[in-house]
Amino acid sequence: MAKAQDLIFLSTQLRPIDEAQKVRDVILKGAPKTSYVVDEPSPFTVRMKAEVEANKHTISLVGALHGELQPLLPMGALEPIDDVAASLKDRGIPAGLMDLGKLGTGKQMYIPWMQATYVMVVNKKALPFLPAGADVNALTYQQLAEWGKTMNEKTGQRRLGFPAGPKGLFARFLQGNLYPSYTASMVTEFRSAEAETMWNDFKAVWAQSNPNSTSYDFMQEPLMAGEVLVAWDHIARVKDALQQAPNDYLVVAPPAGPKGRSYMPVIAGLAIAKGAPDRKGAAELIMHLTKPETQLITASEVGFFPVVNATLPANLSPGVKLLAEGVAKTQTAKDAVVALLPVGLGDKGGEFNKVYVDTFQRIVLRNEPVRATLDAQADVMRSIMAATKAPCWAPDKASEGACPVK
Amino acid sequence: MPTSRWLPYLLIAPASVFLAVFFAVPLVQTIVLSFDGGTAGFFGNYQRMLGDLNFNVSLRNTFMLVLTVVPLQMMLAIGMGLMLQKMQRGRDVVLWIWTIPLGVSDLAAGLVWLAILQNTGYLNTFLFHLGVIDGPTAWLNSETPVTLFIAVAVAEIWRSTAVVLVIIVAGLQLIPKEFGEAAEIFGASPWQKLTRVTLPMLKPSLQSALILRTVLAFEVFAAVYAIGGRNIPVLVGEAYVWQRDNQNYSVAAAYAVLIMVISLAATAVYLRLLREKPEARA
Amino acid sequence: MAAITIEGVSKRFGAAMALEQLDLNVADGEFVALLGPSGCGKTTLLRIIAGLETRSSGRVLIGDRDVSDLPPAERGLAMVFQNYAVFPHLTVFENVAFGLRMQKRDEATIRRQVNRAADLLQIGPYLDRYPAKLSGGQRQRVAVARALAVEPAVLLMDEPLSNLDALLRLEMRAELKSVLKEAGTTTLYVTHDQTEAMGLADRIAVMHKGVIEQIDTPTRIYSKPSSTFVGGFVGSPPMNFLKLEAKNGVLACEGFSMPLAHDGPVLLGFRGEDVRLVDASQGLAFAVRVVEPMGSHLLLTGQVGGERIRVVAAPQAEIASGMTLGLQLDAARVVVMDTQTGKAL
Ligand SMILES: Nc1ncnc2c1ncn2[C@@H]1O[C@H](COP(=O)(O)OP(=O)(O)OP(=O)(O)O)[C@@H](O)[C@H]1O
Ligand SMILES: [Mg+2]
Repeated sequence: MAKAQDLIFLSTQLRPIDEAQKVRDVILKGAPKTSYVVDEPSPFTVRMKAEVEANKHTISLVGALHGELQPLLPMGALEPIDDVAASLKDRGIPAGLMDLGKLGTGKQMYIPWMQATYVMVVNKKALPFLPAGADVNALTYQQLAEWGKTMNEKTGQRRLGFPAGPKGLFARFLQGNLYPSYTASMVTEFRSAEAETMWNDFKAVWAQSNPNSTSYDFMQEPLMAGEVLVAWDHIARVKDALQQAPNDYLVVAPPAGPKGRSYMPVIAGLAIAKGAPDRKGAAELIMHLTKPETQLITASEVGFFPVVNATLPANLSPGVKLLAEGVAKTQTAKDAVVALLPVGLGDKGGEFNKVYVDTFQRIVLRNEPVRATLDAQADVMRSIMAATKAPCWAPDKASEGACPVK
Repeated sequence: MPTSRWLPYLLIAPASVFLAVFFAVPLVQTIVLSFDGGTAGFFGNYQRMLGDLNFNVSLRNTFMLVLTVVPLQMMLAIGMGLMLQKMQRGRDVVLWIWTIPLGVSDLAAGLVWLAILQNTGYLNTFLFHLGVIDGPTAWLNSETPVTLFIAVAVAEIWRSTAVVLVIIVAGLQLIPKEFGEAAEIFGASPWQKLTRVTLPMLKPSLQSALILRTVLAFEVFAAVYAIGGRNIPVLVGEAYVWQRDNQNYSVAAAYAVLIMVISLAATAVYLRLLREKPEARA
Repeated sequence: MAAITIEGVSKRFGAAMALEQLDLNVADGEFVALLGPSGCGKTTLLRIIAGLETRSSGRVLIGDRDVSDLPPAERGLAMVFQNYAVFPHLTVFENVAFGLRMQKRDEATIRRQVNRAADLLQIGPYLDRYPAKLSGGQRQRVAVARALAVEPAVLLMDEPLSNLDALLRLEMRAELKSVLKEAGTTTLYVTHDQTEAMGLADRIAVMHKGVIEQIDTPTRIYSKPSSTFVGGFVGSPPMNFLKLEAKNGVLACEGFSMPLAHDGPVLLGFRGEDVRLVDASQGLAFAVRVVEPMGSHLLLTGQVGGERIRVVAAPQAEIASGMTLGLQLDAARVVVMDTQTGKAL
């Protein structure tokens, strides 16, 4: 497999076997000879750290989420790549995204690679049940609950769906969509009065959600099975349903709360490891991966969208087109609020997610009192922030030192 | 002779070293890890474990599963073993069929039962055709804890009774048939024969089977996970979640230590309760 | 009334016949010993009577009840197993009490009967022990006591004293005999030990290859065997057989003659102690090869003609190997057998 002279490209993204295979067979076609290696986020960090400490370098290029690249900076595992950024000027990567790639330094530390976000997929069969006056592209959480209720009454089943199973990304919904839409915050306002309202509203939504939601991992499955008509998930996890029956679905922005329509962009970047055995090759690989053609291939193969200015061609598969439109609607909604993936939590990311999911379990599934639960969980949150000393990230306002929980 | 005194120890040395390296060392590491509470102190991880919202649920579920599955499967296995004994012909074939689940991994067993019991599974299809239900009915989610529990118990019983059966069949074969015959001649009813002769004589096998099954039942996980996801938390599942999702190896280690302590305690209880009277040991 | 009647019972194990059309009557209160070489079907017969083994054909009656298809418990009998089958998880007391407990007898009766059986078999001191702490012979006695304790009408015993030392066996044998006589127990008793069979039994049934060769009183089995097998199997030394030619209604040899309604070759059987040893000039010439002093007698092995003969002499007789003596037979104490069938003529 990995021959010694091959350039090693280590990625935390596109890990599932079939996706990795698409990277190797399709996306990397025409690129310098590369061996594509994947690793889960936490071993990835460990591995990068080990290479720095041992000063023995095998990895040239790394591909990871913004939040996963950030901790590599203080370790000194990243190589500044202003030269690469310069040669990419004409690709039309939005300046905002390029700025994220500086990781708060003056130098370019990674090049945006691809992006995704979380959207709502609507089976057209659900449209007749929309509450009067509701716009499917600009729903509120109350409307979502009402819609679910009507569907339940008319179809005899609870047809909303969330991926709250063991491998589902439900924590991201709570962090990136629900919380900021009600509180304009992810951490600081965790136990605010707005959060209390939010949980009470969400209870109404959950009451109309399919009881199997706590088992769903990828929403494309219950969507395809017809068990669920309206679902929230990461675009890569609904892609199969859309490609299978593009005419049956709409992709819309997630609902809005009193503080706006929050969404969580997922940005993956490409960085060159400090001491890379093949810096030149890695730079060429970045050039290849950010070519508009490659970006379009990536979109249609694995459902991550271009960061470059690449007009989606007319012959793009209808499923992917649906997704692309959904992403665009989400990003360009009038009331859009951006919530970033958690940054700086290191190996506490899992426990951070647990705070949200546990809060959900206690309030919604076990019907514990909202106020008391929020207070208790806020303590856990505070201890995590204290342990990691992670400063706030959007939409929370920048903080000196650890992000506070009010 | 000194050589003959040392020889047995010499002979068990490789096995002991093997055990020490691959079992004792990780065990000690796990225990150490479980007490490595960082800022939270010596018992910090245990406090977090005990305070976790799933701890009580998973402890209760685990115990309920053990207390349901193990007695039921012991009874089943004894019944099946006795039936096998009575069979003249085709005994081996039946035994072979009954032990097929032995070759099925617990995850696969869970998936088999998932296929039967899920919304669009065989059970619902069957009930639908019978007209008992009029659409896919959910049996396996957090809102149907009873059927979910039954499903997991059934899958576990299906999967792991064969082990008990094999032990019991082997035990039954070791009992010369004359003991049962003597009981019959002296007027014992089939039930008396079972309770006064067969079961007491089967005690060593029952003990092994009980210990083995109970310890393994406390480690129940894959079948539960396949059927119920996290809707029916169990101790090992929580350890797995703390390790994999929450990436807190110390709390996961605390769970592991707790499971080990429970297993050891159960073994000790069995050894005490089922202890053979020393004078009765042949 | 608890006579045992066995009518035409056969037992087939696969292709092998363990019992062949076997008939046997044991009268009420009678003690019959089953004697026969290993593997002749003794245990099989007992198990069929007890209902532990299915028969291939025939029927079994106890009293005048056909019990052929009844389960063991309803046949009203007790059994002592060849391998004892003493329950290892019960004390000696509980083992002996087992049958009584199954009959739900009251505690006092149980205690009394257990103690009686235990005294009889001299296992009183071990009542609180577990069988694992007993010797083979002690366990065997527990098995016998367990059977006696229920005071059965019919008792089947499969070599119940085989593991006892000679002295104890002699003692137990006498005790058993008197107890069973007194109780009027119908007993079928399997043994390898001929003296035991002779001493205990009202009648002895000699089994061979799944059939009963002869059933008769011990004396007649000994002195008037009905076949060369019985003659050769019973008695120590076994019966001697000489091949002779009968002519004109007379069977004769040196110093012996008797009338016989049969012409041609026959076997003349006689017991070693039924001959008179005389001077070499008289009777059959007997060349002594080996002299074994047995205490109560001398056992002489030698040859008459070409055939090996064993005879018994008085312990003080002065006989040495190499000597030739004369044998004189007593016409009243011989049997004549067919050379072909081996059956008495
Ligand atoms: N279950 C069985 N299956 C097949 N053959 C058997 C079985 N039980 C006994 N036999 C055969 O039947 C014949 C009679 O056996 P049985 O046990 O009755 O002999 P036995 O007279 O009691 O011998 P021993 O004096 O050695 O106890 C033997 O040839 C034996 O091999
Ligand atoms: Mg026998």
